[in-house]
Amino acid sequence: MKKALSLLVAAATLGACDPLTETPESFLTQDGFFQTAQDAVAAVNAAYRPLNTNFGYGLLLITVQDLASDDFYANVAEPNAAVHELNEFRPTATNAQLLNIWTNAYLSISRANTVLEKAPGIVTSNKALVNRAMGEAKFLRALNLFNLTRFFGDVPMPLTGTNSTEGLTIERKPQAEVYAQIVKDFTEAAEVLPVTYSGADLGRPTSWAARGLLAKVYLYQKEWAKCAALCEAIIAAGRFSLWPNFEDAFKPSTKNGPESLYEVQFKGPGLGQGNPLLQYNLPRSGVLGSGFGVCYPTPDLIASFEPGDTRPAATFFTSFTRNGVRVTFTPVHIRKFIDENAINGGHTGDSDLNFPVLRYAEVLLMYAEALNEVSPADAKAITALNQVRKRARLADTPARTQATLRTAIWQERRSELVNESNRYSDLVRTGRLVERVKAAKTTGVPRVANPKEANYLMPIPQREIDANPKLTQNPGY
Amino acid sequence: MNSKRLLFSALLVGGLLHLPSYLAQAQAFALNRQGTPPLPSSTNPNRKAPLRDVLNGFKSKYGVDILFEDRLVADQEVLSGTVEAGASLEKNLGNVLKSRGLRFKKIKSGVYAILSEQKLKKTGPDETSRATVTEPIPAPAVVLPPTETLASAKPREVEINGRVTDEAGAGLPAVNVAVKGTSRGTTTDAEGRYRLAVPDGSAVLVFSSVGYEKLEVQAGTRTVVDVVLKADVKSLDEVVVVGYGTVKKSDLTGSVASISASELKKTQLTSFDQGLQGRAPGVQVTQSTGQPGGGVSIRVRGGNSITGTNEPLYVIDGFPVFNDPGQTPGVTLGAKTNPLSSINPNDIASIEVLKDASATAIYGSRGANGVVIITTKRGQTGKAKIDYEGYVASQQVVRMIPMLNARQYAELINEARQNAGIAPFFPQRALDSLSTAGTDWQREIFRSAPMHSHQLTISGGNEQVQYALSGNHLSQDGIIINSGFKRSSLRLNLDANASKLLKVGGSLLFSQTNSRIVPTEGVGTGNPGVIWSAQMYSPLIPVYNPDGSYTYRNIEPPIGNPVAYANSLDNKSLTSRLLSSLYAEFRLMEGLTFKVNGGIDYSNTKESLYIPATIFLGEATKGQGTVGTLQLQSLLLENTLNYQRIFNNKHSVNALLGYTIQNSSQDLVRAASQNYPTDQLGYNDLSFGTTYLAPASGVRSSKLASYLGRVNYSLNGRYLVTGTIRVDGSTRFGAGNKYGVFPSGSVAWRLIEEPFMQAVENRVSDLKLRMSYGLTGNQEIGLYQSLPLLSNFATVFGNNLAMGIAPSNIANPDLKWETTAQFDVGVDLALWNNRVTLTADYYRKKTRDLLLNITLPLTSGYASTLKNIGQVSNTGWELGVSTINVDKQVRWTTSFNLSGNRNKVLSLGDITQFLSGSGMLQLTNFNIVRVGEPVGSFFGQVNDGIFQSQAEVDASAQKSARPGDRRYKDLNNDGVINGNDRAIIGNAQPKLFGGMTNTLTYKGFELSTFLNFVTGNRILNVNRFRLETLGSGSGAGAFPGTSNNSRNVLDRWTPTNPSQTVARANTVYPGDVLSSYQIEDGSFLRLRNVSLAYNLPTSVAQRIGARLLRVYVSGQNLLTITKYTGYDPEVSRFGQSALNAGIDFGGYPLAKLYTLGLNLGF
Repeated sequence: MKKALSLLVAAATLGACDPLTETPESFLTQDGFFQTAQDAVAAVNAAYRPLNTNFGYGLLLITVQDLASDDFYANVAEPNAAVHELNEFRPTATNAQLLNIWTNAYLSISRANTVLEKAPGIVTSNKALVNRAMGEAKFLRALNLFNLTRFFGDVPMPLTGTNSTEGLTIERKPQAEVYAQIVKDFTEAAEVLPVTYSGADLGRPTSWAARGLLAKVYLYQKEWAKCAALCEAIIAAGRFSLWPNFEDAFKPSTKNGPESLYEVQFKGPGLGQGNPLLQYNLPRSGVLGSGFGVCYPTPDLIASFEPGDTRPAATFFTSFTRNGVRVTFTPVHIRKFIDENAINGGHTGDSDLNFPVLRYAEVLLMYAEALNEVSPADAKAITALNQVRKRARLADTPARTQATLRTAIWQERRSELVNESNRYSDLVRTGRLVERVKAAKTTGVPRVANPKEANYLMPIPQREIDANPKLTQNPGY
Repeated sequence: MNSKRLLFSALLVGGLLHLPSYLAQAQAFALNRQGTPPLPSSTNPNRKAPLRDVLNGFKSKYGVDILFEDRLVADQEVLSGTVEAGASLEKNLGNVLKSRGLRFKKIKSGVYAILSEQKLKKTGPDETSRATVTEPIPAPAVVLPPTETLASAKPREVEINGRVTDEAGAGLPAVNVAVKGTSRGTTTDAEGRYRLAVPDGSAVLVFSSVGYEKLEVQAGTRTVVDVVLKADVKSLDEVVVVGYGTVKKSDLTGSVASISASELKKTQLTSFDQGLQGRAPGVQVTQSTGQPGGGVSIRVRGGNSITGTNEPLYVIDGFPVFNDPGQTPGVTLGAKTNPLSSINPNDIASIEVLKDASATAIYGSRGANGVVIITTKRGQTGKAKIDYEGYVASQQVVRMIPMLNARQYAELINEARQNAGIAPFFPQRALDSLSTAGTDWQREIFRSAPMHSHQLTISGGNEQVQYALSGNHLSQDGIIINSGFKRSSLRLNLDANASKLLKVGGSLLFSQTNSRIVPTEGVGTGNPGVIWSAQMYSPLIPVYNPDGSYTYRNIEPPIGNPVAYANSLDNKSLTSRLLSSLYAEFRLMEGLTFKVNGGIDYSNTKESLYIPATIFLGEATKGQGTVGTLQLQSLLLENTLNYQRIFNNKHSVNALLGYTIQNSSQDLVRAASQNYPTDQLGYNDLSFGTTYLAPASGVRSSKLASYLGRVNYSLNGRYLVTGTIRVDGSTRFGAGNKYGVFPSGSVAWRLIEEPFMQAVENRVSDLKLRMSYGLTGNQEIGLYQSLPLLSNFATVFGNNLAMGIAPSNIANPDLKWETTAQFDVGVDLALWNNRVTLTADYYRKKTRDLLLNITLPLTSGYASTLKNIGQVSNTGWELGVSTINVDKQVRWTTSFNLSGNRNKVLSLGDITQFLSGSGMLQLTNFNIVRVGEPVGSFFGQVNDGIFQSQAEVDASAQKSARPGDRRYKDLNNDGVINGNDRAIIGNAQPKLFGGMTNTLTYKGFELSTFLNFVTGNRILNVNRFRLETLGSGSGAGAFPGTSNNSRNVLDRWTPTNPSQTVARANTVYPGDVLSSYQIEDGSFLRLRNVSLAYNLPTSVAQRIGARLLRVYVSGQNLLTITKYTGYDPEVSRFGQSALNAGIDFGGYPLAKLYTLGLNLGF
C-alpha cells in the first residue's frame, strides 16, 4: 500500500512543473533577429526573392507587358483565361495574373519596409553594411512601386512594416505622390549603394542601377531634362558599354556584363532559383523540351524590323538544334532568352537566364528620347540612337526632326526591347495603346483585340477591393 | 431492466410470444424494480429486508448488474447482520444467498446472475425430467397452455441429451432448454448437461440463458445435441465506454452512440473510420478518395470550425490520437494515406462516439468535434480460443464516364473549326476510316483488382491473467493500375491481477502500412493526374508505340500518357506505427482506485517518389528522386483517481479526478535530386542524381497539460446528474491564453423507474430523458501560430544562394482555442420489451472565437492572419431506431438512423464574408463564407442556359457572345458580366443523412443489407471544365489536338440543335468560368453492403474440431442511386477541409467489391 502511494505521488508530479512556453526549434522568431549587419542583409535578401519568381521578373512582369500590347498574341490552345483576357484587352478584376503581380510587388515592399524599420536599431561596427541594406531596400521599394503604378495608376503605398493587423486598410495614393516617393527612394538609394559589387554580392543593384531606374521614372513622368541629365551622367561615367553582339546581353554565360545596369538574378537548375520564362516561350509541342508556347510575336512586330537588322535572328526563331537534332516549329516563337543547357538538359522551366531590368542600350534610348524633347533633334540624341542601331548592324537614322526622331526612337525601343517588360507601358506612356493594338491585333492573329481608353490602366484586383473597402476600382472595370 | 430481459427469454421459452400476456408477466415481475429500500443497517443486525431489495442495493453499491428471476428470491428475507459493509460483493452475495438454495455466477466483469443451487447437485435424469415439468419458468398470473408432463407425452417421443457450453468450451449450468411451441423444457446441470424428451423428428430446441444469445436448434433425428452459446454482447452491453472510464448505459446522461464489432465487420474495411458511415446518428462520414488506404472525413453533428479541423478526436484504448492526414513527409503525389488505416479494424471490440458536451467536455480543448473512442478486444477468462477470419474480394470501378469515341472526337474538332471559319481537319474519308472506338483510356487505367485479408486471434486467460493476441495481413490492389495498399499488424492486450490491490495491463500494437499511390487529381494546370489525363487524352493516340514502348504525350493539351504515368511513377508511402500503453490500477480503499496510464504513439512514415525521365512528367527534371521521413511521437501520462460509493443506499456517487500530460513532437527529413543518368535505382540512391535539390528538415513539438474531474450522482437510479470539468494548458495558445476551462453539466431522468410508469410498462420498457450543456474546445490551430515567426526566403547573388529572412506571419499573442457551447436534449425509449428501441436527440451548438484566417489586404505583405473571431452555429436532430420486426424461426431486425444538421455562420468579426479556394485549373475563390449562410458554399456565376440567337445576345450583358455560347445572369443588371454577378450557387453540406441495416436470420443463415444515404448537398464537378472543352484549342493551322470530351457534348448547341445545356463547339476556350453549370446534386442512396452468411451447424464444425465455422459472401457498393455525373458523389478533392468541401477534381473513384469470407474458430 505504501509502495503504491509513493508511486502515485511520483506519477502525479511527473512533468507537472513544466511551463507551457512554446519553443519553435525549427523556426526563427523575431526576438533575437535584427541584431547584426548580416541580419539586415538577410532581411533585404528576402525582399529580392519576389523578384526572381514567376510572379515577378521570372514571368508575369514580362509577359503581361507583352500580351497587353501590339507585340504578342496568345496561343488559342492556352487554357489560362487570364492570358486571353489580357491578350484581348478585356482584363477583369479577377484576372489571376494581375493579382499575382500585385501580391508579389507588395510582398517585396513589405519586406523592404521591415528592413527600413528595424535596421536602424542595429548596433554594429559595420554600419556601412546596414546602410547598404537599407539602400537596397529603398531601391526595391521604388522598383516595385514603379511596376505597380505603371499597371494600376494610383496605388496604395505602405511605407512601414506590418507588425499587427491594425491599420492595414489603406487608400490609393495619387500617382504623382507615388512617383514622388519612387524618386525619393531611388535618389536615396543612389546615395548609399556602392558603384560595383563582386563575388557573392554580384548582381545587387549599384548606385548606377538606382540612377538608371530613376532616369526611367523621369522618362515616364516626362521630366525630360532630369531624365536626360541622369542618362548623360551614366554615359559619361564610362562604366557601361554595349556588347558587340546583341545576343550576349541575355546569355547565361554573360550575366551581369558591361551592358547591364541591373539584372534580376536567377540560377538554374536545381536550386529553386531558376528562370521559368524560357519554358513559357518554347513550343508547346515539346520539340525543345517542355514548353508552354503561351504567346507568339505578332506579324506586326516581326514586320516592324528594318531590313538588315540582325536582332530578329536573335529575337525570333522557327527552328533550333537541340542535342544535335534540328527541329522546326510554327508559328514564329520568341527566342530572345535562350538557355541552351536548359533546353538540352530538359529543365526549361528552371533555366539559368538573368533578366535585364535595365540595359545600357535602354539608357542610350532614354537619353535620346528625353533629350529630343528638351532639345529637338539634338545631335547627341541622334548619336545615342545610332549607337544602338550600329550594334544591330543598321545604318544611322535618317531622322532629323523632333517628330521623326521621336518616332524613330520609339521604333528602336520596340526592336531593341522585345520581351523586356516594357511594351505595354511604353504604349501607355506615349498614348498609342489603342491605336497600335488595333493595328497589330486585327489581322494575322487568331483572336482580335479591342482595346479601349480604360485599358490605359489595369483593373485593381477584386480580391484586394474585397479585403480593403477603402480601395476604389479604376474606371471602366 | 435486466429482469425484463430475463422475462423476455422466459416468455420465449414458454412460447408465449403474444402481446396480452406481457401485461400479466410484467406485473408479476414488477416488484423487482420498485423503490430500493436502504440496505440493512449494521446497527440493527436483526432488522429484516427482502432479499430482492438487498440484491438491488448491491447493484448500485458495487456498480454491477445482478440478474435474477423474481420467483427465485420471492418471499425471502435477509437479516441486516448478514451483510458486511466493507466486504466484497462476492462475499456478501455468498452471505445472503447461503442456505437459500441459491448461488451466484459471475457472467462477465460487472455482471452476476442469481441461480438456483439445486442444479449444482448431481441430479439423476429422472429428477431433471421432473424439474422440467415443474419449472417451465412461468409466472403465476399467466394463463398457460395445458401443462404437458412426461406422463402424458405422446408415444412417438425420443430422449435427447447433450451438453451446453460457452464459447470457451466450459459447461454452462442453468441453461433453459425448451421445446419450441410447447411448454416443455429443462435446465442444464452443473456441467452443462441436459436430458429432455421431445416429439420425434420435428422438435426445435430453444436454448436460452441470461447473458447468452438465444439459440434454436433443429433436433432432427439426433439424440445428442451439443450446443455452444455465444455471450450476448447486446444484453450485457450495459456498459458504455466514456472518457476515462465506463458507465452503465442506463446511467448515461450524455449522448453517446455505440457501434459494435459485429456491425463493423459487415463491410470490408481498410480503416475503421469508414465503418462509422451510416451507422451512428449525427455522424457523417465521407470517403474523400477511393485510393486504397486513403482518407476519410468525419463530422460529428456538423462542422464547428471554418478553417480549423472538424475531425473528431480519436481515443484508441485510452490514448488520444488526433488524425491529421496532413502530417506527411510531403513527398508523394496524390491522395494522402489515412493515418487511421494503421489500426486494424478487426481488432476493435466497440466504437463509441461521444457527441454532446456532457460526454466530450472531459476532453476539453480537443472535444468540440466529438470524440471517437476505440476499444480493442481484450482477453476473457476461459479456455484459449483461436479464431481465423479471412476473406478474398474482387474490386471494380463502379462506373466510367462515357467519352467520345475517335469518330465523335474528330467530328467535334471539325465542327469547332467550322464555327471559327477554319477548314475541317478531318476530311470525310478520314472520318469514315476512323474506327468508332479509338483508345478508351479509362479502360486502360482501370482494372479488376483483388483484395484479401487474413486475421488470426488467440485469446483466453485465467483469473489472474487474460490475454488477446492477434495478427492481421491485408492486401488490397487498387482499381487503378499500380495502386494498392498493404497492412500487417500485431496486437497484444494483456490484463493481470497482480495482487488483490493491484491490477496491471497494457496494449501493444505494431503495424506497418504500405501504400502505392497513383495520383489521380490534377494539380493546378500543369500536372494532371491519371484520371484527369485519361479523360482528356486523345482517343486517336494508342497506348503503345509499335515497338511496345509507351506513346509519350498528347499534343494538345500537353499531358503525358496516363498508362505510362500510372505504371512508371514510383510513389510509395510506408508507415510503421507503435501504439502502446501500460497501466497500473491500485485499490487504495473500498471504492477508491488510483490508475496510472502511460503510453506512446510512435510512427515513422517514409515516403518515396521517383519520376522517371521516360514519362512526360519527368521530362523537365530528367528523373527526379525524392525521399522523406516523418517521425511522429506522442507520449502520454495519465493519473486518475476514481471514487465510487453509495450513501444511504440511495445516493450513488462516482467521482473522477485526473491529471494528464501529453507531449507530441514531429521530426521531418527530406531530400531530393534530379537528372539521373539511369532510372534503374530510382529514389534508392539519390546520389545518382546529378543535380541536388535543397534538403529540408524540421522539428516541431507541443504539449498539453490537463486537469480533469467528473462527478456522477444518481438518486435511486432515477435522477442522474453528471458534472465534468477539464482545464487544458497548451503550448500552442498565445502567451495571454495558456489555459482553457471546459465545464459541462447534464441531468437525466429515468422515467421508467417512476411508479406512475407501471401502468404502461407492458408497452414501455425503457424511458429516459436527458439534457446537457457544456463547453468544449478545438485547439488544432497549428503550432507556433501565435509567435512572430521568420522564414527563409532565399534568393541568388553571384550565382550562389543568398539566405533571405523575413517575417512569415503577424504575431498574435492572444491566439486561443475555439469554444463550442452545446445544448442537447434527448430521449431514450424502448417499447414492447425492447422490440423497438429509439434514441432521439436535438442539439444546438454555438462556436465562438473561431480561428479564422482573416483575409488581409495584400498591400500588408500578408494574405491572411489567424485570429479568434467569428461564430458558427449548428442545430440538428438525430434519430436512431432499432426494431425486431420478426422474432420467430426467421428473425428480422432493422436499425435505422437519420440525422439533420443546419450549419450557419453567425459572425465573421469585422467582415461579412470572405472567399477562398485555389489550386484547381485557373479557378480562384470558388468558395465563400458568408454570414447567415452555411460554411462550404460555392460562389460563381449563375448559368442561364445558352444563347439561341443574335437577338438574345444583343439584348444581353454579353455583347461579344455568339449564339451557342453560355449565358450568365447579370445579377446586378449593370450590363456587364463580371465578378459582381457572382452568387452562392450551392452548398456542400447535406441536409439529411443516415443509414439503414436490415438483418434476416434463419437457422444458420444471415442475410444483411446496409443502405446509406445523403441528401441536399451539392458537388462542384471541376472535371466538367475539361470534359466539355468543346474543341477549344483545335483552331491552329496545323491541328494540334484537343482535349477529349464526355459524351454529354453530343448534345452541344448547333443551329439545328437548340440545346440549353451544352454550348457550341468552339476553337476558343471561354475560360474556366465557374457557374452553377458545374454544380451538381450530390445526393445519393447507396446499397453499401449486402451479405449472406451461413453459420455451419455446430455438429458439422465439430467434425473438423472447430467451435465455429462461418462462410459468407458479400457485395459492397453494388448500387448507388444518384444524379451526380462524375464517378461517385462521395468525393472531396480537399480532404477534410470545411471551406473547400464537396469538390471533385479527378478523385480516385470508389470501387465495388465482391467478397468471399470464412471465419473459423477453435
